Amino acid sequence: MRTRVLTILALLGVLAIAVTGCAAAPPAATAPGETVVTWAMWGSPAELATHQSVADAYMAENPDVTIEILSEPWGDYFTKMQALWAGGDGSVIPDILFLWPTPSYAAEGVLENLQPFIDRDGYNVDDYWPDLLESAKYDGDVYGFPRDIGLEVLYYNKDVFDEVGVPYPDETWTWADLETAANQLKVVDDTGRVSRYGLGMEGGKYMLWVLQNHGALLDDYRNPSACTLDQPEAVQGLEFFANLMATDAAMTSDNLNQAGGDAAVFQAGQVAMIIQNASRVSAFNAAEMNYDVSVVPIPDGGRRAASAGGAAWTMSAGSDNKEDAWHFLQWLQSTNGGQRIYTASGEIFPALQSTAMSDAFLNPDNPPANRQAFLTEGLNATVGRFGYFPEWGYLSGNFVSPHINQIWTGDLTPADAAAAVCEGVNQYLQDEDFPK
Amino acid sequence: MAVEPLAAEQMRPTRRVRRRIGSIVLQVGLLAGSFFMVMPFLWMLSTSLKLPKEIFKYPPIWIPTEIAWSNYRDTLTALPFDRFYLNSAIVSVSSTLIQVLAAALAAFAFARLRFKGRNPLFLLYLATLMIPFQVTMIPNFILISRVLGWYNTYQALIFPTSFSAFSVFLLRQFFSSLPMELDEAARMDGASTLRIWWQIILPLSGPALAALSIFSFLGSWNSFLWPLVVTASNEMRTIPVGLSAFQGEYNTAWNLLMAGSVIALVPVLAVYMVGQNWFQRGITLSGMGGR
Repeated sequence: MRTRVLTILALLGVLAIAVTGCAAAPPAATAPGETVVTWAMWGSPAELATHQSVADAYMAENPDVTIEILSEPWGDYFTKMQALWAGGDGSVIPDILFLWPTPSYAAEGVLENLQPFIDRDGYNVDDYWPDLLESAKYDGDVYGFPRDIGLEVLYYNKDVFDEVGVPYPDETWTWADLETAANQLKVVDDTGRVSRYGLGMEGGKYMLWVLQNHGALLDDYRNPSACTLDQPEAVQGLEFFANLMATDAAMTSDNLNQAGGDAAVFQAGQVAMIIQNASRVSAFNAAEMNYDVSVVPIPDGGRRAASAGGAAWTMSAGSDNKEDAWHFLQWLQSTNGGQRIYTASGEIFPALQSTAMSDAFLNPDNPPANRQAFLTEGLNATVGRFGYFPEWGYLSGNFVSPHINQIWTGDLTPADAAAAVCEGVNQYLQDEDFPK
Repeated sequence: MAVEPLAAEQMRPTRRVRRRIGSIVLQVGLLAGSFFMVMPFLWMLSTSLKLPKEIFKYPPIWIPTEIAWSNYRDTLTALPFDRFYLNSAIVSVSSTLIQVLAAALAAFAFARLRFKGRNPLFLLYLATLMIPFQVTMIPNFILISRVLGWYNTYQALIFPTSFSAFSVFLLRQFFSSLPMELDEAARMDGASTLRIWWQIILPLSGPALAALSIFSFLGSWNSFLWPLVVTASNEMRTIPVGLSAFQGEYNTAWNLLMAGSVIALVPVLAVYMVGQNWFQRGITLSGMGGR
């Protein structure tokens, strides 16, 4: 009997060894002397296919380098990267990785300062849209290259506009035109339920309206000394948005989330317009929608204020192969390299002006027809949506968003919410000894 | 004396009626309960056959106007599901086997053997339950990746999840409830300690072992964060990690995500159908039902 027990234990031991053995082969065996650059990003299976074609194109030009892709789901990408950095194993730490927000990570010391590389090789940083590189700077140095720019345009459903007989939006549209059109396009059924809204726009994008109206959240986005959201021009921007929601011209934020987000409601015909970045284009084209885009309407006397920000390619400070990583990074962020492939795939609006002005973007085969709208917004891209200091995430999450969200739910008036935001923000800035 | 049986006689039909009403109420309640339990599954099935534009329609559409079987084809071609399945199966089965075996041995020691420092040791072990996984994740990762060089291997997926204080606790409580006389009698007859464990304790603990197996299998099958952290390629990923690829920064492919979830659920459902009685007995006897 005793032997039987021992036999079973031995068998389990064998099982354990067998499992160990059959897994021992590493995923990608590399030939000796070959250079490997590990490249990490998040993305859907479709986006991964584009990343793979970018890697293939680079490897075709550089046969002695192998690009190893590490693709992680968006939701837990950052947890995974932090685990890899903390592990400190240079062979598994990604050399080049996609990241947002760059300044916070740069402050933690996990990113390589790219400025010495830029200065040494004369990489052209002037090709980026105005203010865009600001989002990837820390302490005056560049720590990452934004891949794309998240500027918004107005998407509109041409079928709905034709049905109601509203003229298509153009660059002359003001806030008043937008409001009038949204009210004409909305449909309220007999029970009072709104079956179609004029506009669908994420509540979190409110700063677009504030900035257009010459308002701002902070007096300085790199080293703030005071909150300015309670100034009249800023409050007017909040009021414009709140009023659209209160009159059912625009879907409320909660409603929009529950209905699956702006892409879902636009495709389902539940809204006639959305204001969003270029990321929606491929989905709407795949669904064969009859739509186009226009610049975002501005108030009388206002200015265009596209968001100068986007996730950036960065280099790990713990990379074991910085020269090869830098060579790849430079190629990735050039019009003849990665930027063209991403742009041609229709997934992004490129960070480089030269790429946007090339046929990769202005290619007329697919909607939207009015690609000029993106260029117009790009040339007017500006800072103002987020702070470029490491404490921004905490500040925004604790003192800004909670009060702003109460505007969209109707619990606070824009003026009261702005006052509450500024009270919290100013106190925090004082406690943390800003300006530094 | 003579009156009471008569009264009981008259009572009987009313009691039967009352019992029947009670039974109807119970059935209706259970039906309502099961309706709410089944609804998410039906929604999952329905969404997995919808085109994107119908997913969030209001009022909800339960039967898609156009049945999109292509969702299943797209899901299967977008990701290597066969590989995910294989990985999930290998990891869940191995980790369950190791966990039950290791926990049974440890629980036996804590419940049936007398040695110095037994109870303090057990308390110390139990105290590890208080440390959340997030705290131990990074040290565990450093151990696996840098010390053992197991990054992106099956060992990394299996071993760290195979030892848990909870399973030892569960089995120890069950083992302690068996009479000590059994061990003493066996020892008088010349049985060794291991033999007592194998021939006396384990056969008497069927339901507890079954319950532990189920919970550890389910835990391992559904586990997400650890497999995500220690794997780098689709060759090593399990189903939950693979599925999460459909949830993007801006867009979630709900129809594909749901089709993938249906595909992932089928084998588990099949296992449950086959072992239904075992599972129910295990859960009722061990008192681990949803209370």
